[in-house]
Amino acid sequence: MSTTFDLVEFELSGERYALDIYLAREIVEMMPITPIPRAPSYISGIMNLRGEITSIISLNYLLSLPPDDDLENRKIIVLTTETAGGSNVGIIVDDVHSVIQVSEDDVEHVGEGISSDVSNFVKGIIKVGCDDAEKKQGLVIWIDMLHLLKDLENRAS
Amino acid sequence: MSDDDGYRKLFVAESRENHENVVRNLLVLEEGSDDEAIAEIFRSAHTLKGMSASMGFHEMEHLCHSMEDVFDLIRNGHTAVEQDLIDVLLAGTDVIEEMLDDIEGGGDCSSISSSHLVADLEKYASETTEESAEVSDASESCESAPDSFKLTITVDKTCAMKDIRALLVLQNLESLGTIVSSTPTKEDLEDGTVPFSGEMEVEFVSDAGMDAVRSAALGTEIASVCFAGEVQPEPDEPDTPAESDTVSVKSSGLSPAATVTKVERTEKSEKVREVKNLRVDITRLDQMMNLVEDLVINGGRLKQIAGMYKIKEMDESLSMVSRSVSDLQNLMMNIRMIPLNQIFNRFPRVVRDVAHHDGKEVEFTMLGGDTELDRSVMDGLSDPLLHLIRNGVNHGLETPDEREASGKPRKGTLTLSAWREQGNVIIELSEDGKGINRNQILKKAIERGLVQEEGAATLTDQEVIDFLFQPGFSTAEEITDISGRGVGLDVVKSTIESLNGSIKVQTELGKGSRFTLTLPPTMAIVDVMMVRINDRRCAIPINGVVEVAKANLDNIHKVGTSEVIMLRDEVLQIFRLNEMFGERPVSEIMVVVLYKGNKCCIPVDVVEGQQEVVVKPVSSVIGNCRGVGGITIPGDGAVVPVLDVNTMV
Repeated sequence: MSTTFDLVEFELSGERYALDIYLAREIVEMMPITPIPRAPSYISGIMNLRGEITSIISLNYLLSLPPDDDLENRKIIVLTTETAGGSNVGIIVDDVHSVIQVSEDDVEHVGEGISSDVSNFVKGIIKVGCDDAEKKQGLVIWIDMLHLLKDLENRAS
Repeated sequence: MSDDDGYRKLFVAESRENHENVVRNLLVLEEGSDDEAIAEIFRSAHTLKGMSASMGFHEMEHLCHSMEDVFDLIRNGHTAVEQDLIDVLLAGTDVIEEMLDDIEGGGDCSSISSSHLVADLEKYASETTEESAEVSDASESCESAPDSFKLTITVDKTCAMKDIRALLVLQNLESLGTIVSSTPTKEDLEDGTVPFSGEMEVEFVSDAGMDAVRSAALGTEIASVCFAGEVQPEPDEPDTPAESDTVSVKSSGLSPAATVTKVERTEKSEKVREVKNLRVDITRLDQMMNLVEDLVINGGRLKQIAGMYKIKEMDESLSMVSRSVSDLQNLMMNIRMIPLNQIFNRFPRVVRDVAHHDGKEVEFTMLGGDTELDRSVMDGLSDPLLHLIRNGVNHGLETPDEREASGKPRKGTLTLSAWREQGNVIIELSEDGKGINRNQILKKAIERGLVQEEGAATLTDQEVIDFLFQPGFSTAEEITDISGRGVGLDVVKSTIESLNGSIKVQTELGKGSRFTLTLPPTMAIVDVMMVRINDRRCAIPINGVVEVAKANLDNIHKVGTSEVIMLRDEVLQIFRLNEMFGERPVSEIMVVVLYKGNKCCIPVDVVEGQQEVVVKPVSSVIGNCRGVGGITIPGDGAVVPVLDVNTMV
């Protein structure tokens, strides 16, 4: 029996993505986001989540996806404070699907024949629904959130 | 072992105080003989020795011991206070400080050698004892033959480690004589098997005299020392007639069984006053501050919600709550305020060292050391001030000969003063030295390519002085180990600005220079003016705002790419801040702010009012955004960036 991982699956610009569930604290509906003057482009802004200032990261920018124009009906995945070294961070996604359990065998690692400009932030590509006809078949891109945030902090400082 | 850590921390904290005390009074002593100073030194040095001995830091104990010997000679008038002697003693205090650093870091200071200093000190001690052997013999014979004392020592009720304190007292006493018996016994205290109530009775034989015994027993956090049975008229009693009189009125009739001499009473009442101070770990205060900040934010939200429903009882009780919250907040701010003396106290020593090194004579005056600042501001202030002071002596003041040649007194004056002004704290350092030479700066600036030679002549004095704050800019012709290494005023400036403060220089050639620092007294909670710029909200700290004015748009003129406006006979530059808030037509409402010490205008859509907010730092994920000093959540629950006026352009 190979190791399995619990991931949250979400959608961005029609692609399916996932991140480790233990990094996510909660999922909230879209709220007003205040832009910060002169902030780096990957920062959408900040919002007030029950009295805590939460910085919102735009994954679209980091993953070279088209910019997220329509902010209506989108969702924000708020990460645990440990993930971002003590600060409150959320990411904007188009939709959150479900929690999926994947086995290590289904994970294709980037770099083994697949390369991408964002491969730094990708933990692997997951094949889902191959052995189960009922589920939608396809690929899910597994984001390496810890690595991504660490990278951002290095950029910021 | 956490217990051990606790003692260690306590030891370091107290030893630092004692150490500082010694240094401060040594400097007083240097100015001239002062009985009070030497008594202070003696007390502190003695405590240092006793505590280091009981903690087992023998190297330190040894050093303290030899220093104490010399202090003793000074106290008895057997040796004169000379420059060399003070130098050696100060060197000794430096080593002690090194040792304390080592101990704080978990070491046992055995790695730091003090033997050469000890030898130096012993040399002093032995030289003078030989000369004065007779005298000291005579004075010793005055002391009474071995006396037996019965003491009741009460450890302060609030003391966290009563048994340790009691042990320290016993140890101190042992150095003076023999302890016949004590309840509880030393072993009991060491084992900690018997709970210690805080009162200890000691029978003690010593020839040291009552005064010495009392001072040995009266350590830190000892509430009182009572001598029972033994009543010896004290010759030094009349020294403090006023105090003892008033106290004895109170104590007569009240004093229980034991006979208590009047002098002890005064000491006791002093001790009682000290008890009212409490040591609190600073991180706890910070936590509390965070909680208070949250309260302020949420209180604001509650008020807004209550405003929507208009329930009378609700409004009333809410206003009660908010009054308590704001009281609490003020209290919290006050608790965090510490007097500037905390950092000022180090400076006389620095001035002295630098002056000696450079062969200069300096009269250093400090004023307003009791001005209070928030701890977080204070933390960042020490290094920049230190730097400015070194600079002042090193570059600013001339040598005595040069001064005489230019018709000034040989002794240069350096004045550090602090006061409050319009909600800010102003710290000013002025000296009557040679002033800053404009041409010298310009030459250097041209060399470094900061300005073209042709353009140099047209620069204003202020612009020329600003070159001083460029990284790596130093006009010192000769690099010394004190200043002139090129890490300098730029660091000072950026540090002060990170504290939301500003720095200004005024100078007159041949007359001296003056550095003025303007600092907010606290950082966490600030008064801001809420404005809208391009329909985006923004908070401007009120201490940077001069006024809000309505301008006539016809008065705006273009000077190259920048714009200026005539506002009541003053020409002010306009900063549209398009880069921060986006392009927009200029509006009539101008907020006049102080940018780098000069007035300038920011056009805003509307001013929403003034309020007190808690400023939180920008998250590390976002990093440092120029022009954004922080983020705040005002009462309505929105998130608003706070403008940092100093870096907005």
